[in-house]
Order: sequence, then structure tokens, then C-alpha cells
Amino acid sequence: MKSIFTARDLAVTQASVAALLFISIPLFNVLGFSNHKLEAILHGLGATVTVIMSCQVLHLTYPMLRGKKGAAVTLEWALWLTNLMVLITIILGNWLYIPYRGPDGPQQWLMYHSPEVHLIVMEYKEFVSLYPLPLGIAAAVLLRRFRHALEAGSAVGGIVAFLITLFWICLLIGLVCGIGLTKLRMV
Amino acid sequence: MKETKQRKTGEIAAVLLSVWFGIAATTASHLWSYYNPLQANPILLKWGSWIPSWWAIGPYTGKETAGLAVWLGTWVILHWTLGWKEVKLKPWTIGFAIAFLANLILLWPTVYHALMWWPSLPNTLPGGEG
Repeated sequence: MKSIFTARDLAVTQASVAALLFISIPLFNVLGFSNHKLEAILHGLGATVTVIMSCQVLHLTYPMLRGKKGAAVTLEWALWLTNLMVLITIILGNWLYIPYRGPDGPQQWLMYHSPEVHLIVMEYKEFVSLYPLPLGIAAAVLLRRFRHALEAGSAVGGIVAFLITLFWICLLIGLVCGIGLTKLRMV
Repeated sequence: MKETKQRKTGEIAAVLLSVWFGIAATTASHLWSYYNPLQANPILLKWGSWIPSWWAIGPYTGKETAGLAVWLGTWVILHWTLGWKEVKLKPWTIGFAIAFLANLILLWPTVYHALMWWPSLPNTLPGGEG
């Protein structure tokens, strides 16, 4: 008997379950004690959705690098959508930054109790999390303008994939530092 | 859309360079606001004042604005200058990778605080530490 599951079925199942459970991480805050739940949950949801989408984008670079027909178009679409999510999450992050640094907010609390958390983790994260916006837009624009030059092993394809890898790394730095901060002190 | 015209590799160099300039602008403005907050923060607040609630978000809005303006501004300029030329992509790519990494290292707070100084603690000044 042949297996009733294909490799694709199992991969799609893993990706769906991972995405669904991953999105539930910021939703724990619904039951939490935050004074700024809406800002916190929306920024958290934005960040998790963006990171999930960026993982798909990174996976889509592989067929593009092999020069598969149509792969660059799919990649470009996914990348523009992820760029939009990056922008939305940055805006939500700015919104959440208001209560973070407000009177009696986590910044004051951390500076008093454990200044390294604000001075190192937050100060790093708030800038590195901005980098995916120019990186993602740069990669998407190159994909659009050099789509005719994207055969397997092309220099442009390599540069686009490199930009997307940096994009993904910076998003992950932002996510990990963000989750770390909320573990120590909620906004 | 049919692509007939061959695009120049200078366009790619322009993209890489402008992205790095934008990133470096946020880092530079951040270091400036640590080095000389009394001078830098009012100016950064002014630059950021197009962003809603800039007064509550703080000097960070000015650092974001600096990055955005430098990225897009240098992109336009470089696209119309460097973009017309053929360049070798290998040195540009390696240069970008090294410069990107160098920025990530310089931005790590223990590095720039070691080069400048640590703020006095506990620092609960309103308007500081943006």
C-alpha cells in the first residue's frame, strides 16, 4: 500500500500548526495584567505574523536561486506582503513605545531594577527591528527591476537572497529580544 | 511587461549603498543622542515631529526619520548617478556585508558605551534614553 500522506501534506501540516501556535504567544496577554493590552497584543501579533511570513519568503528564495520558472514572481509577491506587515508592526511598535517609556512604565522600572535590560536589549532591538524595512523593500525592488536577469546562479539572485537572509535575521533578533523583554516586564 | 533594456549593475550598488546609509544614519543619530543628549534630543524631536505622538515616543522618532530620509534620499541620488554605470558586483556585495556587520557590532550597546560612557544610573530623566 502506498502512504496516504505525501511529503507536502506533512510539511503543510507542520507549517500550519507552527504558525497557529506561534500566533497564540502574544494572545496570552489577553488573559494577562497589562495596562496597555491592545497595543501590546497588536504589536505582538504583528511581529509573530511577520516572522512567519518572512520564513516563507526565505523558503521561496531557494526555487528562485535554482532559476525555477515563476518562482521570482511568487517570491516578489510574498515579499511585498511581508514588507507591508513589517511597516505595520513598526508603526504598532512605535505606538507601544509610548506606554513603554511613559511614567511608571517598563523603561523606568527596568532602569531602576535591571538597567541592562533596557540599555542593552531594548536599545539594540528598537533599531535592528527597523532594518527589515529597507532590506525587504530593496530586495523586492531588485526582484522587480532585474526579473529578466534572474537565471540560476546569477549575481542578482544571490544578492536578493542575501538581502532576504539579513531581513529574516534582523526580524528574528527583534522577535527574540521582544519576547525576552515581555518575559521580564510587560508594558 | 516586456523587458528589452538591459539594466545597469550600478542600480544594485545604489540600492545596497543607500540601505546601508539609512541604517548608519539611525545608528549615528542614536550615538549622537547618547554623546550629547542636550544638543541632540531637541533636534531629533523636531525631526520626528511629523510622526503622530512624537512627543510621547521621544527622540526615537527623529532617529527613525533620519534613517528614512537618508535611505530614500541617497537612493534617489545614487540611482540617478551610480545607476547609469556598470560596476563589479562582487566588491560591492562583500563591502555591504562587512559594513552591515560592522554596524550591527557598533550598535551593540556595550560596544558604544565602552567607547563613550555609560549613563549614570538609575536614569529616570523624562525625555532621556530614547
